[in-house]
Amino acid sequence: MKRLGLLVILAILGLALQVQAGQSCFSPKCHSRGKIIKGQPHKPVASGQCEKCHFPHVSRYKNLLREPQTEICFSCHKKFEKNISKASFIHRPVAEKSCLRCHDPHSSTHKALLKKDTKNICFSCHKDLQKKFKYSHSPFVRGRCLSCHDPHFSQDRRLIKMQSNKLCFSCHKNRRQIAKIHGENIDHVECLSCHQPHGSNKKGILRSISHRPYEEKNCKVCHQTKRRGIALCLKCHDKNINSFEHFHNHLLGNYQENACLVCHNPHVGDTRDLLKDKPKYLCESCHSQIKQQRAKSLYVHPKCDQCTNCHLAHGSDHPAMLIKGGNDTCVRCHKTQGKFTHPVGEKVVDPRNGQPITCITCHEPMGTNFKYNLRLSGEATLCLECHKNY
Amino acid sequence: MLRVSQKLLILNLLLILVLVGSAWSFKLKFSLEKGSDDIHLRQPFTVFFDQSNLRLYVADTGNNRLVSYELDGTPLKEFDAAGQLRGPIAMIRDDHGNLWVVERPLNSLTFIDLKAHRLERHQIVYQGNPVLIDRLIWWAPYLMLLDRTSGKILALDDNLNIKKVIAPEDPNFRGFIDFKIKGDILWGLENITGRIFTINLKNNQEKIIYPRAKIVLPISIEIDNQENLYILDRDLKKIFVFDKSGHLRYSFLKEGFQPGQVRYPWQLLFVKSDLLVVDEGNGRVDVWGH
Repeated sequence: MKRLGLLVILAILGLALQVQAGQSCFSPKCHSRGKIIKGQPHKPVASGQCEKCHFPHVSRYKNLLREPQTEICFSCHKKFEKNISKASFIHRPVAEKSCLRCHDPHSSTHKALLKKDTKNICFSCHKDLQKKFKYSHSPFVRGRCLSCHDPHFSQDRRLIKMQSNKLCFSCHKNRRQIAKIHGENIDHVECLSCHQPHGSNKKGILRSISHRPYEEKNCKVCHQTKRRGIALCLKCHDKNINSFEHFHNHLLGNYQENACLVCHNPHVGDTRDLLKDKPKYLCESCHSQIKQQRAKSLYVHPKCDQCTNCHLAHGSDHPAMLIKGGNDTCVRCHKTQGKFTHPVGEKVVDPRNGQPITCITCHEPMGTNFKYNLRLSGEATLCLECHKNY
Repeated sequence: MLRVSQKLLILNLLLILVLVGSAWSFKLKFSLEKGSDDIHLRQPFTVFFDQSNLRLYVADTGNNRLVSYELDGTPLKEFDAAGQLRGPIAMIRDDHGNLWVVERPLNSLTFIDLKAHRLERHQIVYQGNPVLIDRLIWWAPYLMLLDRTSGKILALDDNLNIKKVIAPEDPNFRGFIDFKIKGDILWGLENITGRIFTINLKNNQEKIIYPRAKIVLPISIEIDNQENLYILDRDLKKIFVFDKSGHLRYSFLKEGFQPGQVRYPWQLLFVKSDLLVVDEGNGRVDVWGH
């Protein structure tokens, strides 16, 4: 009898240990091991440590998770979280801690517990990249996005793994051949300024729009002249100097040898004005505050990343380098608001500063936490700034 | 008896109080808002202090005029050269009482002889490029101007010949956005980076000060008698105050429409111990005193 009692106690202890080890979670009736583990399992799953992430009975979080889904991964991957905090640019799902957008927490037949193969997983969000080009870069065609990109974070806004020329030279090792075309100083070449790394309809996967002298192979127009700095550009674009003669301008003399090249590429580009990058990124490289404001705000003006829709890039007589005044810029699109609205215009004066009231007196298109991009709450606070007796 | 740790704590608290106190001690005294004709300033860009007559001159850019004030803020006169001035963004009064005005829409350095009622417009060229004239300072006998095309400071003589070009020797120099001259020392604020270059105009000795704070868009610089450095950030709408080695002491100012708040600030200027902040967005010059 005593022996039987001992056996029962041992059996109960064994069961308890099994539960502790998570072994009991896997059973054909409850959580089929075969359904959960497909391919390479996540380490806690492999060792049956389900309780690392889940409570067995109740939880305030979905899927009986111990912590919110956005926090649970970082309860183990602490070093990774620390590295993220040091990065300049973070992939949005990572910044939002939405690890499960790409990873399966239990197991996967793909590397790094990815839900699908790299190509499909990247293109599930980056739909605009699914283009076919006449000339394509081999890793792009093969869907090897991670050959060049770090999917989590980077010191480069394109999330490339290292400085662009170093990255390119890690495969394109024939430096002599490269030097033949680009000159001896290839370590200082910025490959991506001229080459479209995914593909292009131009030979050499060059960016699609060319500066005319470059297109005509008339290099000496720029490279065999005594002119230096912006004088080189003004030789042909002489009228452009007038576009800077405004109260505000973006002429950053000496910022680099030729100030035009702060924003423009002299050879090729993706835009008609041969900008070095998309306006959003180019502008944000100096106006980093705007990027933060947009990110922190609940309400941001649509197409706010198309800076040049509302702002002039060379010069303007209006604050914030707006295309027109604070009203005229807005009514180009908001036509009815120009007619039916709180009184605005030259004769309506803001009592706080004596300046004419415009749309941007009350609205902040770059982003606020109030509906309609209002600067303060439209319930009362904003109005009471001026209408104190109401 | 106090322990060493307690003494250190008290010392720290005192230090914090001194630092915070110095920030708090800047108080808005008054604002220059209107001319004597009761017309409000419109997009003022810069203010100039004339030591010879102790008057302030505001470049009332949006109204195409200059407005003079007493030091206590009383508006005196408006001047638009009989309707000829166009978008004056900066001005100085030289030792002879003549005005030098930068008319940005014409990119002109305009000479105005008030007694002779004479106005002459000049375009300056440097190394074959048109000079985009920005800030002006009179450093007798030279008219010092910031050229936005080259990012350098040009010293012009009476005949507007370029006598000296001032730029640091640092190969990574990225152009100036503002400068001040105190005695023989020129303090230049670098575009975007906010580095400060000090250049002795007599012996050309240079020094670089790295402000230790995250500045976004530095636009103007000032220096007080203790050589504390004031950097105005147009995007952050703040004034950062550094000690002479570039350590951040404190910052103040915030965005808004009320007096003492700024929207699009452009220039800092110390007049005696008062700090003037020119705010284009709110159309006024706030005078901060201790």
